[in-house]
Amino acid sequence: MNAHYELPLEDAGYSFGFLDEYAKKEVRRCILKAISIPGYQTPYASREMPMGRGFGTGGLQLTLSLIGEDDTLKVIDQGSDDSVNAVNLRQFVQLTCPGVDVTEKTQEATLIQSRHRIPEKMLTEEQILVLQVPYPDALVVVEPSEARRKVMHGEADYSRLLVKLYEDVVRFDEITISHRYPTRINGHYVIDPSPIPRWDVPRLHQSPALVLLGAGREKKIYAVPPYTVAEPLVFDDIAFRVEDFRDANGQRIACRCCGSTVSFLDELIDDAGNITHQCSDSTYCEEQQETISARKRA
Amino acid sequence: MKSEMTMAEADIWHPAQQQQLFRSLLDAYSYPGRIQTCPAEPSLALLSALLDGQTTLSDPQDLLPESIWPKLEAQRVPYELAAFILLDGSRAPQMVPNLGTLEAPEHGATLLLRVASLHEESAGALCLQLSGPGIRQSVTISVDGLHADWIKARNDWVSNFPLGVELVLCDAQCFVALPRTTKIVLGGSA
Repeated sequence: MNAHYELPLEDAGYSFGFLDEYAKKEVRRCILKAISIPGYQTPYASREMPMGRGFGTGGLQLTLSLIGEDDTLKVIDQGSDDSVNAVNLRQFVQLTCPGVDVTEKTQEATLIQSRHRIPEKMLTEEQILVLQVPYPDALVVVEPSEARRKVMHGEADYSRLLVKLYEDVVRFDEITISHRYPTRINGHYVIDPSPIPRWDVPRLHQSPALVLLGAGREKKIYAVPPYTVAEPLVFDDIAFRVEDFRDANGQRIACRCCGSTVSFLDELIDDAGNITHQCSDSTYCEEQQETISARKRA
Repeated sequence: MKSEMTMAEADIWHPAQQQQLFRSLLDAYSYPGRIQTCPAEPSLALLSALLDGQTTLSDPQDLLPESIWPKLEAQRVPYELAAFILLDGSRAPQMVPNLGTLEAPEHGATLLLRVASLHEESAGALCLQLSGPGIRQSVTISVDGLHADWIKARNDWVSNFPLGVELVLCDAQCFVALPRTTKIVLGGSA
């Protein structure tokens, strides 16, 4: 977004949060139903937003329906507060919600809108995590008809999805899904938890914070309520495992900036062609570096 | 007393107030059993925050004054079709509300029940032991002025998940939400 852009105010002006009150009320009613039926994709009338579908309009509509003047918002994209998508969305909220504070610090935020990551720092009951979802339905790979998928979801019939996972095991000796790992919520609905890496999936389980997922293009809202069972879909004899950050010698690779060996790492190739690793959560990485330099000073 | 009522009622139609009401309702749904305080009469305040012309409301016991209906904008429909139903919790349930369908469980109704008072722990007449999503360790709340048949009927209505109803119990200042996933045991341990 152009930094000098201003909303046209010559007519009646825009209400707080850009969306009109009817749109917000509809999203709010859907959010409550989504919490009551954990993992169920509640349909809603996704509004046109002044940005393309697929740029986080679903997450943004959730955020704008939730936000109030006493909220503090953090927006992240792939773990970073400074990438284009995050900066755009944050500026849009600042433009349309006067009085709302923004932050990059995870612990200061009351609302966190995120694309493709859950912050490294454990969330609390005072926070709400909003995830942007491109493809909400985990069953779409095995059933093209939405009407039939709805019946399968209602009956909690995920046999064909399990067959798909089984085929992976037969062919590659391992389930090859890297992100959007199908996850069963409260023992019934299987969700697509948005393109978060496997690393983040266990953090949906018994999370103290409410997790809301919004798909703007697909017009669906679903939720993982706090303190709810969230189990990745697996077989009894093949356990779920997260990304392995060990090198050839079995050593855990450390972040090149902060040296953390417990965070999710991005693989980078520098100018010389060497592979290096760096924390994906930029705020976490900066805080680690500050702690280290403070310790050195002391 | 009368002027206080009108002041409180004037507030609940303001979008900023409705946003705050929604957020306390969101907390109530996220953490069932946590009693939320409300700046105005809760059942009306929550209806004002949730309803518009797209929704349906049923008030079979005529608890709402006629002057409120135009403000709520909701369509007036029979009990079994309504998305939102306002009822007096002290009277036993009469009919089965809309429970939704397998393909569209979100059509299950939301029932707002007016009760005499809500208490944390077991100070009231009817003890409810709650567990399920949003509840880390099972909690007990208690209610005065709720007919025990409500809980029995509700437990029956939610027995075929994902079908079911949501209950919101409202006393004069507070409310508590009981989504269909919450397991309620009557007369739970203190």
